[in-house]
Amino acid sequence: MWTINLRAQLDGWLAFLLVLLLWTGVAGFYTPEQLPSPLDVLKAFPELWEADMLGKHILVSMGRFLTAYGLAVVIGIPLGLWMGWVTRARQALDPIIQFLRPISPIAWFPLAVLWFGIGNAPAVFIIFLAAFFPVVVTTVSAVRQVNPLYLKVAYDFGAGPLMVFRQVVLPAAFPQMMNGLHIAVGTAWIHLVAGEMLGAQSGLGYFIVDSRNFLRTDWIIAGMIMVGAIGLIINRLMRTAERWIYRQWGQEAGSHE
Amino acid sequence: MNNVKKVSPEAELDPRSRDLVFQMRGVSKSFPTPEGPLRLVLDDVNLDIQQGEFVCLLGPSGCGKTTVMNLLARFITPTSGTLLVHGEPLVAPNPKHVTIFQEHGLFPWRTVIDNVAFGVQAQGASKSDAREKAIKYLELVGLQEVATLFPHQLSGGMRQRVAIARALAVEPEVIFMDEPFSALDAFTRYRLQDEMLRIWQDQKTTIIFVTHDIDEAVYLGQKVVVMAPNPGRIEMVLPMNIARPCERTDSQFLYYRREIFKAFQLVHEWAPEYAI
Ligand SMILES: Nc1ncnc2c1ncn2[C@@H]1O[C@H](COP(=O)(O)OP(=O)(O)O)[C@@H](O)[C@H]1O
Ligand SMILES: [Mg+2]
Repeated sequence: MWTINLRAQLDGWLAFLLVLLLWTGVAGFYTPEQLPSPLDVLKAFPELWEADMLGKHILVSMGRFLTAYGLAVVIGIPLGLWMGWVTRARQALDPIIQFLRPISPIAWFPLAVLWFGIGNAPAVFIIFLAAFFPVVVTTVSAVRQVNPLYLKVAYDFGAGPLMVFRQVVLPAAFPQMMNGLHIAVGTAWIHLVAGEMLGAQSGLGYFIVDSRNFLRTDWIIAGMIMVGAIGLIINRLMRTAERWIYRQWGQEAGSHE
Repeated sequence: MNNVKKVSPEAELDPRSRDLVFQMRGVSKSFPTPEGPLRLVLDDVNLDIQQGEFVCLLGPSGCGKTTVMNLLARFITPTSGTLLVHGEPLVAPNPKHVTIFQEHGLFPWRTVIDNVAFGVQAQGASKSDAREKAIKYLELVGLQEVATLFPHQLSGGMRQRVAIARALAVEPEVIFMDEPFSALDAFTRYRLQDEMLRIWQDQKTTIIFVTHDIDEAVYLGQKVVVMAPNPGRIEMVLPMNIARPCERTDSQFLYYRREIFKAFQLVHEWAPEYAI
C-alpha cells in the first residue's frame, strides 16, 4: 500500500518536473513578453507580494466567491429539498430549471451588467449561477433517491410528516447533497475568473486581464497559478468533508473527485 | 374511512371476535398486471390470529405471504372479503403494530441506540425517555455494549437484533416479521430464532412471522399457516403442540416437520414446479 502510494506520488512529481523542463526549453525561443520561463514566473511572486498586488485581489475574489456560493447554497438547497419532496413543486419547476441550466453563466453577463451595473454584482451573479444549478439538481435527486425502506420504517412507527422529513429524508439525502456542494464549488470557482475578467475592477480575474495591459506575461501566469492553487485547496477541503460524511454514514466514498 | 361501518354477517356471528387480534374471512386480493387485467394473488383466505400467538406464514416465494402480512398491517386493503382487527373493520394502520423487514432498514446515520429510540420518539416520547427505553431493549437483545456504534460497524445478525430491539422498544401489540433471518448464515439464524422465542415468551407479543424455511416455521410457530401459490391461498393451518423451546432433533419436532413436508407433497401433485 505504502510503496504503491509513494510510487504514484513520485511519478506525479516526475511528470511535473518534466513539464517545467519542457516549458523552460520552449521559453528559450520566445521573449519574456511572449512566454516567460518558470523561473521568471517564480520571481514575479515576491515582487507582487511586496507591492501588495496579488494578496488584495485574492481577498476580493475569495469574498465574492463565498458570497455567491453561500447564496447558491442558501437558496438552492431549500428549493431542491422542496422540489425533491413535493411532486407538484418538481413538476412545476423542473422544466424551467432544465431549460436554464444549459445556458452558460457567461451568457448572462450582458444582462447582469444591465441589471446590476458594474462592480461586484455581475461577477457575484455569474458565480452564483454556476453554483446554483448543480446544487438544486443534485439536491432534488438526493431526496428522490432516499431508500424507500427508510420511509416505510418511519411511517410504520407512526412518525409524522415533519419528523419523517427532518429525521429521515434530510439525513438520508445528506451525503449526496454534499456531493452536489462539492461539484458546485468546482464550477463556481471556474466561473469566478470569467466573471471578474468581464466586468470587475478587482479580483484575480481582473488582475490577469490587467497584467496583459502592462504586458507582464509573468504576472498573468502567476495569477493563473494562484487560481489553480486556491481551486485545488478548496476542492481538497470539500473532498475531505465529503469523505468524512460518507464514512460517518457507513457508505462508500462518492465517485466524484 | 373511519365512519364506514361494514360489518360482515359471519364476523358478527363469531362471539370471540373481540378476543381475536385478526380475523380474515374470504379475503381475496388482486393486483393489476402491466398488461392490464387484474391478477388474483390471494384467493379466499380465512385466518384467525389470537392475542399473544406466534404464527408462521410458510410457503414458497410468490404464494402471497407478504401480501397477507401487508393486509394484516393495513398497508393494503382487501379486494374482497372481510378483515377485522379486534372485531373492527377498515381500521387505519396502528403504530403499535410494527414490521421488521428482511433488510432491517436501520438508519445508517444514527447510532444503534438512536436507531432503537427512533420509534419511541415517533410515538411522542421525549428524547431522553426514548433513550431510556432504547437501553432497556438493547439489554434485552444483549447489545448494550454496542449502543454507540453505527449500523455499518455491526454484523448482519447484530443489525437484525437492533431492528428487533427497535420494534420492541415501542412495546408493540403485534410484530410482523417478513423473512427477517433469511439473509443470515445458518448459525446466526439459529441463535436469533432462540432469541425470538425467548423474547416472545417474555413479552407476550403477538408475532406474525413470514418464512419459506420449513424448519424455522416448525421451530417457532405455535401455528403454522401453510400456503400454496397460483393463486395464493392457505392450504392448511397446523397447530404445533410442542413445548418451547424444543430441540431440533426432538421426535415431536420431526413429526411436525414431516407433516409439513407431506402437506407440500400434496401441493406438488397440483403444481410440480414448486418442489422443495
Ligand atoms: N404491489 C403489487 N403489485 C403487483 N403484484 C404484486 C404486488 N405485490 C405482490 N404482487 C404479486 O403477488 C404475488 C405474491 O407476492 P408476495 O405476497 O410478495 O409473495 P411472497 O411474500 O410469498 O413471496 C407475486 O406474484 C407478486 O408478484
Ligand atoms: Mg415475501
